[in-house]
Amino acid sequence: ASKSGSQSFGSQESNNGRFGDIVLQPDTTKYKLHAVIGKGSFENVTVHLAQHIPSGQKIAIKCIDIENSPVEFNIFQDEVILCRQMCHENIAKYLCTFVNNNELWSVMPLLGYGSARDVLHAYFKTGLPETAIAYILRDVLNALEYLHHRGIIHRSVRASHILIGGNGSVCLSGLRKVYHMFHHGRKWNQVHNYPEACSADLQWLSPEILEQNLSGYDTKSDIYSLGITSWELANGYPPFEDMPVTQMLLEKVNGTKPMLLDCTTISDLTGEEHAQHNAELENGGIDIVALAKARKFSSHFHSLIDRCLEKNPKCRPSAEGLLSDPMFKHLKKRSSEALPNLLQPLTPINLANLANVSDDKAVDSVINSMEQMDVTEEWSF
Amino acid sequence: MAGHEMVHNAMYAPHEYDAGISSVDQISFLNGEDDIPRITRIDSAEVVYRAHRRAKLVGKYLMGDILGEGSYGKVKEALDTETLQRRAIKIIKRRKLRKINNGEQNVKREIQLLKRLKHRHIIDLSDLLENEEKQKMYMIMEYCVGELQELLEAAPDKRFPIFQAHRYFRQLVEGLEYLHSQGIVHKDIKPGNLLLSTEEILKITDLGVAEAIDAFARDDTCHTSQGTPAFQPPEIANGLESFSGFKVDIWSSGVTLYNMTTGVYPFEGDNIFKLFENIGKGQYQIPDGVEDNLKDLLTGMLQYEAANRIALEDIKKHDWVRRKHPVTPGFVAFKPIQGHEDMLRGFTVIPYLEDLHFHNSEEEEDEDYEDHYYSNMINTHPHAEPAVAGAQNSNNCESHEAEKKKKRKTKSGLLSSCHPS
Repeated sequence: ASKSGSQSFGSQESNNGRFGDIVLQPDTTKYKLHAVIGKGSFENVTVHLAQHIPSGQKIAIKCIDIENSPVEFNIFQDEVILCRQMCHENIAKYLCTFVNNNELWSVMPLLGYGSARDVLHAYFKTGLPETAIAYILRDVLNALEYLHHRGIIHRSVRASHILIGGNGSVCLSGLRKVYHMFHHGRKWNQVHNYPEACSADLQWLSPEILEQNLSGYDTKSDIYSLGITSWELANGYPPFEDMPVTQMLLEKVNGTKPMLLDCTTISDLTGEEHAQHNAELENGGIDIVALAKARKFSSHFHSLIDRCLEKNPKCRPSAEGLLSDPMFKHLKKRSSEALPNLLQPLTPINLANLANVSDDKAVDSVINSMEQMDVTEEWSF
Repeated sequence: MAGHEMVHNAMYAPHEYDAGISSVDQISFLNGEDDIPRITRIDSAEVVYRAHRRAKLVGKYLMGDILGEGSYGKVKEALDTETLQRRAIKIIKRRKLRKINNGEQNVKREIQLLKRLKHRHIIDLSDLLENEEKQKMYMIMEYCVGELQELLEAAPDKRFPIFQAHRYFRQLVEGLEYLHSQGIVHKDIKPGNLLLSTEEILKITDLGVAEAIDAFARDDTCHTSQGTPAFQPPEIANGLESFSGFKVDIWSSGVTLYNMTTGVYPFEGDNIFKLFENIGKGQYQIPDGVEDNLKDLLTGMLQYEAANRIALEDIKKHDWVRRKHPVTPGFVAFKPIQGHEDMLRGFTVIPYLEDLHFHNSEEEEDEDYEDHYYSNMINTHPHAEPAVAGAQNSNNCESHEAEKKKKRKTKSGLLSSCHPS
């Protein structure tokens, strides 16, 4: 990586290019890449654990191979520009972005737990505890309220786009798919644009985005996606996962609402479904009935998901409205005060540990040990 | 059961005869397709077939209802079963094509041009499939709600309020500017070749008679035209051997603007000879009530001498184009397709999707499932094998369509644990 091949990307506002007291230079020679800790939803995107050499600070660097991109470069460019404009503690930050030969490098803070999807995959395969979900949702709602207030629809709210820092801070990423309610010189009440390259997000998309008719959609479609994400966090996988996407479309258009499974709702299963379940158990499937019987979500949580998944967007609450939901009433002010405890026994990629490790091999061995227990799943930005 | 089917017939059959056949008939010669019927009637066997609405996949695309009929074949709505994006598919029958003058050549040219064009206001060709055996070609394009022509016909006095016409005209100019910058003369600009997306973005379509100017040519001289008579300039009506291509598009856009704002055409005639005679004379009236500003623009675009005709860049600078026009009542919106209740022009693929997923497996397989299609291009999807895994997979939970008497297998219902709301 040569310095001459690098060029600064965008202006250096006071907010950017800094990480605490550390100045991050748009210069590849100042960084050392370590192991890959995540892959994007496109093949050309990888996330590395990295070190800022002058300060020794551990960071994450997202590298995008621009020349072998399945989508147009301006999609990545727009994301960088938007991320630089956004200033909210619950929205993922790019500290410094620059071009290195055929790659776009974005320097980000290292978020030790990876994505909420990683957390599910690593330990909470059948879902997170409700209190942990409440903290995560509240922070995501804060981010959504901020975006919606600015007329921005996120369009890919999902567990893999929720990143959790080692200290328990939560932020929303995946801003590449956003759509602006402000464009062509005016504010639109409804927009109709169908997200590009959205195959991976289809399960989370609202019925009105998928329907692509004259009614269009607005910020409430993010609330639907949040409902699906809540369901995903509670069960360990998103709804509609076991069917072709075309059938999922049919279910959503017909108004099918995924429902949280616990001891209060398990009796709703039909006889036929029970028979099916038994057959699955024989094939070594997870005993969901036993699991559901053993757990109980609060009525607030049931109601929240139910309202988020209303087919009619007008019947869904807004992000602002949801923040005053009773589900979030008794939470501590900062997620970092509670979330790490709730995520035990999982441990994040630990900055303190890494700081003592100076040589590559040791770092890689730490990463390797963590990869085995943790971030093997796509770290989708 | 028979009664049930009849309901479907009644509901879906009118659509076949829709698309405003009467009004189109009246002006069919204006649209220049008097020898090629623009809309062909479909025999009753076809209607009955559609009442069943059997799922049919072409590559990864699930076919929906017919959106329109072109001279080369049908245009159907379709669903990309991988991205769930709505599409329009132009189905071209090779056999039919050979019988039409320049048919094969025109289609080939259109495909070549669309492949290299990419613009907000030009229809996007996203994929191309071929079925050698059936001698059919499928042009997969972005979905549009309808033609400007259709909207005009639905309007009182067959014209738009000024702000609405202005909105479309500006987009037309932008699209045309791009086409011309690419050295392409469209040659058939008219409301029937301008589509609107759900976002109300205008898309120029039908490049069947367009011409790409040779990159080394000195100017935009053209020698042939197969455009729609009522929209042709005097130089073509008078049969000139060579003429400026770009100025043809300016004239046709002028006629289009004239038509959108007044509801009538500047030149008419009982037959094509009379019409061309009138255009050749170049005498026309601008109806009273057209504001001076717009009159000035129309006059500039409908200049008899191509050399005097206003250029695209000057159209963009023209006061009427640059001005903001106040929003007035009477905005013309798309009406539901006759026979469908849906004001929003939603999917027509839903019944086909239901067939796909809740299909009675004891029934014999439709031969269409077995069809093979070959994808020729395009950027995104090199493979176009039938993409829906398990067309026989059935639903996970009871849906609203419970009245359907088809047998459904339930599979892994617990995992999704859905219930109808």
